[in-house]
Amino acid sequence: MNMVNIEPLSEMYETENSYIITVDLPFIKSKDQIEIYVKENEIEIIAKAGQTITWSSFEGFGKRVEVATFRKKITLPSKINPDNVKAAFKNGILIVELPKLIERRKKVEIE
Amino acid sequence: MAVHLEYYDVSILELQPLQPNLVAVEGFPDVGLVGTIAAFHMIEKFGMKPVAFIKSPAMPPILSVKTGIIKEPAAVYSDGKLLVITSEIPIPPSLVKNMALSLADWLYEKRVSMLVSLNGYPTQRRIEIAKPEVVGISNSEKGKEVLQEKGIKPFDEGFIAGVFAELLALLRDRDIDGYALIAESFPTYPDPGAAASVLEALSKLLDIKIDVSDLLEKADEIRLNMKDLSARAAQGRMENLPSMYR
Repeated sequence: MNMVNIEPLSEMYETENSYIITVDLPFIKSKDQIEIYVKENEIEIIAKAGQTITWSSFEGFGKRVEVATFRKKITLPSKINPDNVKAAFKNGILIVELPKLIERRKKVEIE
Repeated sequence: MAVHLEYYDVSILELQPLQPNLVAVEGFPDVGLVGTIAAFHMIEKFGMKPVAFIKSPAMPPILSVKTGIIKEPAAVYSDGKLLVITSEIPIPPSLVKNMALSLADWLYEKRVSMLVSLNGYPTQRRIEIAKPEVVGISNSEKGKEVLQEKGIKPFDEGFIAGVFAELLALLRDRDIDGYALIAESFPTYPDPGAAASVLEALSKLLDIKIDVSDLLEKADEIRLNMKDLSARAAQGRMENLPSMYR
């Protein structure tokens, strides 16, 4: 069987000050199996299954494959502050809170 | 010999004659795939066989293949006591009304004793909930009392939408008792925990035993293998419903 990366299901919703992303990660049992990387406008989540999982893909016409890693990259609608991102993992669901970057307007004096 | 019955944009191909007074259970793909996961669990647990295929030109041209043989993704299964109606692909939004009309007429012709729809209602706080709560809806005053007697909390007020909502009203018009059992569910993720909760409520309503322990044991496998169907069902809901009801 082929080893493949699988794109997990995710949801993103927005509050006044942040973006909240949840990711469904079946077979992932510990936060130690998950890596999260953020940039100002992007988040990437990688979760290593640590075991052989057989997945019957619909797109692959039911072909059964072995899953090595869940990988999801999301482009954010606006810039965030990468230094204040918080994450939690509960019952197989990853929750990431990404605070929006508040860009202050600066008044320019005319010479 | 198979019997081909034509309804509104939907045809039902009966593979064998059906006895009257069966209890029908509907679990089409919807919120959290609660109904679909529950339906396939019942099919497996009770060793049900397909007794009818549901076909429509409005359905996508997809067939499932099991052990080398084609099978319609939307089908009715039975063990001689229950009928389980489900689909391996979402019902297209444009077909929801005609699917409900066709099934209502077919269930009336088959003289089923009642229908129970299994479903989920989306809640963002699902992650905090260890055991999803189930509420019940009926299509008659008598049914409301039955739910109360069985200890199933009523869903008092709000809106429901989709094939099951249409079916409840259409069956009321045909004097058939209709119920919906709806569990708190993840909005778009397959939710075997919510499916276990509706099956426990169904056990109470029908006075039957449905073991859900292996459904919970296989939760990771179900979540992985049903993720594409769940995403499609969520997409269909977005197309079907005004934003205030999603």
